Amino acid sequence: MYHFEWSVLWGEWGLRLLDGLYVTVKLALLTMVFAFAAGFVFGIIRWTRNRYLEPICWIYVEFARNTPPLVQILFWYFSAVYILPHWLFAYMRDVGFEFAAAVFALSIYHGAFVAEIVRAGLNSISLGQVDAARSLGLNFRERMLHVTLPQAIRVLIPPLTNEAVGLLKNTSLAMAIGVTEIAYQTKYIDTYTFRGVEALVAASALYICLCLIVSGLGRLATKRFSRHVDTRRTMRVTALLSE
Amino acid sequence: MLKANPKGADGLKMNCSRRSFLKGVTAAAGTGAAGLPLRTLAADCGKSTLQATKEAGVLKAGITMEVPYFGFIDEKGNHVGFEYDLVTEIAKRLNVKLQVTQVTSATRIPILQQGRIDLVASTMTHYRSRDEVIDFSIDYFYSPQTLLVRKDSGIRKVADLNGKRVGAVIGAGSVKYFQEAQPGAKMQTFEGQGESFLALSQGLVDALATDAVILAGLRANATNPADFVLLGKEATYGGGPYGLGVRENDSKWRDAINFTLQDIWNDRTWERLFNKWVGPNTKLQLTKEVLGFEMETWH
Repeated sequence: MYHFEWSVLWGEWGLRLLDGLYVTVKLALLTMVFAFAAGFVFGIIRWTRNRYLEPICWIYVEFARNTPPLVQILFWYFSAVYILPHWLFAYMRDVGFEFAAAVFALSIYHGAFVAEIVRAGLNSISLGQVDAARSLGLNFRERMLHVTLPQAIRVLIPPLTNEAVGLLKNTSLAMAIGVTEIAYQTKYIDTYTFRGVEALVAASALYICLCLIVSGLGRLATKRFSRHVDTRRTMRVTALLSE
Repeated sequence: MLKANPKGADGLKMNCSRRSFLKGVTAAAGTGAAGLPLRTLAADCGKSTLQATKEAGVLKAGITMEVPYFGFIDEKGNHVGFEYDLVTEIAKRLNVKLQVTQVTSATRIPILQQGRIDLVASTMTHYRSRDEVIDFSIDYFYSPQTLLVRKDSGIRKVADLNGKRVGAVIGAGSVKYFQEAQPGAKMQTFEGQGESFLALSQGLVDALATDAVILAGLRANATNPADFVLLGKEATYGGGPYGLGVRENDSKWRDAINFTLQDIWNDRTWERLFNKWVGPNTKLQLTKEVLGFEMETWH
């Protein structure tokens, strides 16, 4: 018979979960910044079909997408000693290399998915728009910033929100290399109290809250970026009705 | 409360429809801190695990597969080790067959509580906080907690680790207790023993902290064991007695296990197993003096 004993989560053990929450949020936010940056760069390059850069991006995307995130985390963490110069390795090790390795690995993994989302989003914009912009004499940067991206962003936000939620949950894999995030703390609590079930329930609640916040923000962003579309459609409908 | 199916060993199986399970879950959500009978065990019907085990003729034991020479998978793929032999001996003396479930530190407690196994042997150190959840047998082993370091590192005692990084496996007691002994060290944890040892050999950590028997096993399995030093007394910061885990409030079963353990100690079978897996002539090369263990015996 299992008796739930929630009191174990008050005091020291509960505070540990909150410590974990802080690390999870920090890890997720940093990873999102890097993954989205990498994703937009690689996605746009793939969309432009640049003869020299596109194959490199393709290799990156296929490598990163087709290896499990846990394997990547372990790989980058344990291969650092061979890749980094010794002084950098020694420095990184002392400031907490596991966190940096987790951010790096997860950014690479999710960056590939973001790149594919961005490419698909850009593909959804009709070529006529780009040609029109070009005929007006806009250069590449201007075409991207003022014509293509503002239209694509509407399509991009729902799948990007989805990706952000996936990323948030995958931060729990970082516990394999000792990043002290939420999942790590549940295992820590379990070690000393054998009250792993309570800790897991509490951890699930924390993850659900975080993910709901991210989805909520995504929904707000969708609303904001689609407001022109909606008003225009409303106008068109009212015009039709008044005829 | 859900009633158990009163048929021998199968009595441990859940007899509960999805609806009553949902009812239980909603009750749990509603009452919060209240105790919740999720699963019903033979023990709850007033029947001891001892009786259930004897009737079924099977001892269902969970044994670790993570600790070299205690419970591990050898090169031939067999599950062997000191704890494996110890539990085999217990089953033999209870006159029942042994049915082994391989457990990890994450699975051992839940499946014991759910009644899928009746005994856990998994180098489990007996802490008071753990005793609130399951019951422990008397101690059958004692291991000091020490350090494993690279030979060239120059680290020889706990004080040398001020400002250094120390590795351990997540789930090991030393994560907390070494930190208390040396607050200046940064603890770094890993998912398994193999990864922690890789980190030590690469220099990601300066020392590994856990039970001496586990560290001795890691050193024995290294490509070149002479590169690593297992530190002794000057680097001991704690230690703990190992106990076999049984479910709470099943005193007959715990007695049976305790008496059997003492029989195993008294007729020197324990010593034979010790010399086979842990002692000075094995790969672990540990002595009883280093470990300092004497089983309590009752007359």
